[in-house]
Parts: sequence; structure tokens; C-alpha cells
Amino acid sequence: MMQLPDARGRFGAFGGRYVPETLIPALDELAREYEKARRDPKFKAELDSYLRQYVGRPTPLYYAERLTKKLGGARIYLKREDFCHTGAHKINNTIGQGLLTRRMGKQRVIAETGAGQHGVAVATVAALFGLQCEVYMGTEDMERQALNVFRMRLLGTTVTAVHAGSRTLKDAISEAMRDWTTNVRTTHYILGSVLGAHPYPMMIRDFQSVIGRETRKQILQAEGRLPDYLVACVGGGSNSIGMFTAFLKDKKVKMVGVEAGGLGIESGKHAARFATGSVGVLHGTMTYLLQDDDGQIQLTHSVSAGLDYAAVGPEHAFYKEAERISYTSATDEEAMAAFDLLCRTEGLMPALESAHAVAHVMKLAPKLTRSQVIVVNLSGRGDKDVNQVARIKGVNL
Amino acid sequence: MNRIDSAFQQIKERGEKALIAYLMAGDPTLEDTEAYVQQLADAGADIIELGVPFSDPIADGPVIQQAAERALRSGTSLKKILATVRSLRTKTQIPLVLMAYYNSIFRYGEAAFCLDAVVAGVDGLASRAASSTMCR
Repeated sequence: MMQLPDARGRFGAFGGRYVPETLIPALDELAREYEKARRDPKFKAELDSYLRQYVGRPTPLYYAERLTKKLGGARIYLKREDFCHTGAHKINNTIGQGLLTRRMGKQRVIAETGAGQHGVAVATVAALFGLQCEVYMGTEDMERQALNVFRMRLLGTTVTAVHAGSRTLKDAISEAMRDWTTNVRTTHYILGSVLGAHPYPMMIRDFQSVIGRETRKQILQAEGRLPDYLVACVGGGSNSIGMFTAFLKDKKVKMVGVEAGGLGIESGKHAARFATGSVGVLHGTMTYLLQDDDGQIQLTHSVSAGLDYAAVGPEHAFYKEAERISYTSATDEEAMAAFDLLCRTEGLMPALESAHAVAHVMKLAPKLTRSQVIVVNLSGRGDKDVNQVARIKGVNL
Repeated sequence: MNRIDSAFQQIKERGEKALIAYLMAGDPTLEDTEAYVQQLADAGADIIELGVPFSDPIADGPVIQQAAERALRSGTSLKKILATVRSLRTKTQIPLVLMAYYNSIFRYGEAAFCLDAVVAGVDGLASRAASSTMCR
């Protein structure tokens, strides 16, 4: 298989660099610095050491026996990214970019956040490496995720409210890009998913691909063979591409990415880019988007803030068209049912994002036999979503 | 000579500096934009930039973003902006430069856009994040 992306940061027709000219030197510097770091055994050793001792890797691959019995089909394994420090896979990336920031000699980092998970992971790493940190967050999200706002502030981060547009993730990204354009000499922008201009989608995939490398070893140890299916949720797509990359050459391993079906595809209130989206350019990259005929970006909806975004990572768009990864969606309701099921059968409270992947497994597993194996990426834990879940269930906490 | 070059030549001959004004097309409506362009031309602007509203303007600040939101609310589209330019060309020869985010042009179709823009009487394009080979 060819090496992706190419030198211009393209995954076939997707990806690239669609940014204001002022950002090109910073992207060049980042690409150069990352390339050097990637070849430097010292960087690799440092990264590995933080992943082991700070993040808590390797995370377990857990055989979900009761869930398997309950669904009555394939054997189900959960890759436990919910064990990671700060509660989700996000920190695999922020540790990597934090170390790069230090190498580049920059003193300040900025980030966008929707649900607050990436923001907390950046705030954590900024505290760890002694960097000044500012996180942009839409006011709508700040209200929904007040706890994470406070967590970031406790970690010493400035959380800046974004009042523009829909006051959610996409507006926070726009605001962070504006900050970066202005302060590019002193500041590194820690993007949270496999989105944005080259080299971000490649670099973030690389930092997250530790998930799949571990999974591959662990499933071979547990089952003596590769899984039949890998299932993961897809917002920007970093946890899924992180899990899938190590298996791309294994033709027999089927991969399914699960997008947010929101209130149902036909309702128009969802974030399933591959269901009704089309190709366009947003936030620096060419990929599948939810947009109207004039190319205006549409508002999305999902019960899960982490999946609630109008664009998908360009590498996913490539594998979708190459038919190497298939994509489906799960509605809010299905994700809630999966959340409940995992709580009650396994004592595991998944993030609402990850619950979308479990929702697909509820449909898939019963159609398979006991001799088949599914691995699901449990990308984060659900503590952050308890307030949201209570609200949906009509419970006053 | 094209309208932009000849505008700069005249300014140079007069020994003056150029005044380039910016308007968000369609803020609050395209009828208003048409009137504003003529007023600016009459008041001495040398070149006018017309912003093409985009939902997620990463390279602009809050003032332009709010202007874009107003323009989008009144149903402004790239196609309608080109129609406005066509109509303006019967009234004024002031150089008009479109400022657009690439997704608007990509969705329209690069080749179709370049052709339609030239035919309508657009003199230049400043595009955020476009490839540099467009419209050559």
C-alpha cells in the first residue's frame, strides 16, 4: 500500500492545505519539526515514556463476556481507551503535540474544544509541560459542559468564550485559527482531531495509531487471530483512524465507522457526513461536509458533542471512496440505549461518542456467530456525560 | 488594459494613493449593495472589494462575520452576487474585486465560476485558501 498522505498532504482527492497564506510558514515548520521528531529515537522514547507512565498505556483489551452473551452472536472485545488519563483517547495526541511544542521552543498553546474533552487534554498537557494555554469554546457548549470548563480553569488554562456563529465547535475552531494567524510565531495550535490542514491529519493519526498497534498485539494474544470487525465512532475521526491504521493491510478485517445519526438522517438533524454530505473545503482541508448548494456549512446535531461537527477527517473520505472502511450511523436514541446496555451488562459507562460504536455492535453482533470476533473502540468514559444523560432522562440532579 | 491596471495608472498619474473600499455583498441585501457601490464610486473610491459571505469565515474578524451572517439571512449567494455585478456594469466601470472563501468557488465549480465572473464584469479575485493556479 502506498504511503498516505502524499508530499502535499493529500489522501487521494482529499486533505491538502486550504488556509490563509499567513499560516503556510507555520504549517511548514510544524511538518518539518514533526518529520525530524518522528525519526529521532529520543523523541520516540520520550513519547513512549509519557504514554506509559502518565497516560497509562497500554490500555487493556477487555473481553465483554456478558455483553457477548446478551447480544448472542460474535465475541465482543472492548479496547479500553476510557482508561487513559483524562478519560479518553484525546491525550494520546495532546502529549505528542505538547512534546513537539517544546521542541519548537514555543511557550504558548491554543486549542478548540466542543465537549471539552480535548480542551481538558490540552490543559492537562500544558500544565505538565509548563506552557501557557488558551482554549476556545462556543458559549453554547460552555453551558452544556460547565464542568469541563471548570476543570480546564483548575488546570490553569484560560477558557475563552466564542459568541460567533452557532457558538459551538466549528466556531471555536474558526476562532482558534484566527488566534493562530495572529500569534503564529509564539504559539502552537493543538488541533484535536484528524482534521485541518496538512500535516495535522497525518500527525494526529500517527499519534493515535498506538491504539491499533496495541489492539493488534492484544487480540492476537487473546484469540490467536485477527478480528472480523473493528467498530469505532467517527466525529473528526481520530479514535477510529487510530484503531484502524494498524489493520488496513489485513484485507479480511472489516472496519466500520459510526457517525452521529442525531434525530435520524431523514430529520436533517444529524452529523452523518457520509450519509447526506458532499465534498467541500472547511477549516483547511478538502473532505466530506454537510453543506448547502452554495457551500454554506450546515448546522449539525448530535446528543454527543464530540461527534457534532460538519466535516470528517480527509483520510476517512479517502477510505470511504476506496471502499476500505464502511460508514454507518447511530441515532441519539440508539446511542442512549447502548449507553444503558453497557452500564448494566458490564458496569462500564461509555462516553456518548463511544456509545454510538456500541449501538452499531448491538445491530451487528447478533447477525454473526460465536466464532467471529468484533473489537470496539471504547474511546472514552461517560462521566462527563452524566448531566446530559440525566437531562435526557428527565431526571433533576 | 484591464480596469484594475488602468485605475492604478490614473492614480499614479495624479500622484495620489488608491482608496480601496470593502463591502460585504448582500449586507443587508444585494439591492443595498448595488446602491452602496455606486455611492462609493461617486464619493471617490478607486477600487471596491465585494465580500462573498461564508458561514465560517476563519480569516475574518467578528465585524465581517456578522456582516456575512446578515447577508446570508437575506439569501445572498455567489450566483446572485454575479448577477448584481452584471447589473452594476451597466452603471459603473469602477474595478470590482471579489473576496471569497474557496468553498464557495469550489461548490460553484472553478471553471464555471471563472467564466461567469469574467462575463459578469468582475475584475479580480482575492480568495482565502485557494490554489494559486485558479482562473489563469
